[in-house]
Amino acid sequence: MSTLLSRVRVWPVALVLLLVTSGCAVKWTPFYDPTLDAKATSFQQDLEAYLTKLENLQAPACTYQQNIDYYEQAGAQLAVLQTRAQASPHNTQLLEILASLNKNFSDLKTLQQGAGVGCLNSTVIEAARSGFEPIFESLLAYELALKANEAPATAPTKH
Amino acid sequence: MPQFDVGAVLKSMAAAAEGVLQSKWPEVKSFATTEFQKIAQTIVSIGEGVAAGTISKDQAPILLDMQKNASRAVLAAVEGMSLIAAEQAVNAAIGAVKTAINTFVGFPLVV
Repeated sequence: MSTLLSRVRVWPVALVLLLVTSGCAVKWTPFYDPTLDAKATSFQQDLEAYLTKLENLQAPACTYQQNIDYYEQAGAQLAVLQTRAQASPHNTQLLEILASLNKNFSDLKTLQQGAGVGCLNSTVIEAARSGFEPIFESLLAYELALKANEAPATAPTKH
Repeated sequence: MPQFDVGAVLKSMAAAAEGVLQSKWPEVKSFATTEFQKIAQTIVSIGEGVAAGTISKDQAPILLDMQKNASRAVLAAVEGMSLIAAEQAVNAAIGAVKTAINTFVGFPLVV
């Protein structure tokens, strides 16, 4: 009797839960976006190449004025990344990571503008680089986790 | 130059993250701890750079801001990864009772 009662109590709860999920697997995270992943890697490569180049340049080649092209091109790449992330459902964490990347990019620009006609020294460049690395690693780790989450066994069912 | 206790800072960062993530913390602890360690170490380097004169007082707050942004990104990724883990747990739980539910209701409610 008690087993029957507990069944009677449990089934409605289970049914409500399942109806809420509309018969689908739950999805609280974005889908893996290979384009965003590739573009983020490309942005990282360009940034790394730029910082390495800066370490070896002398004034005036190292100044912000002489490198505006890089900032314009990289700024456009960042905008594309943010647009792709904005189009994704459940994108809160992804947007937060990209906002951090955007802020650090602006900070790098401010540092270089602040150097005026001089060059940023290697200590400053290295400290700036260290500010980007955890962001790229976070983005990569998150993208890999999203990719693994889309394995056939856990992929959401289409309606 | 005053001492900067990296270990203590690291502990505080980890405790803050653990407080937010609670039960999901063990799943992401390793990744988060490694990243926080790098950030704490860079903060020490910035302080040393200022003391040595290789980082100016104008540059130091900008570089520190970059480390704060990096911390935000790490926390966001950790939160995202813990959501993935929670999502997988719920889906596994629903999947485990799929046959029983569908048999009970008489149609494929859970697909």
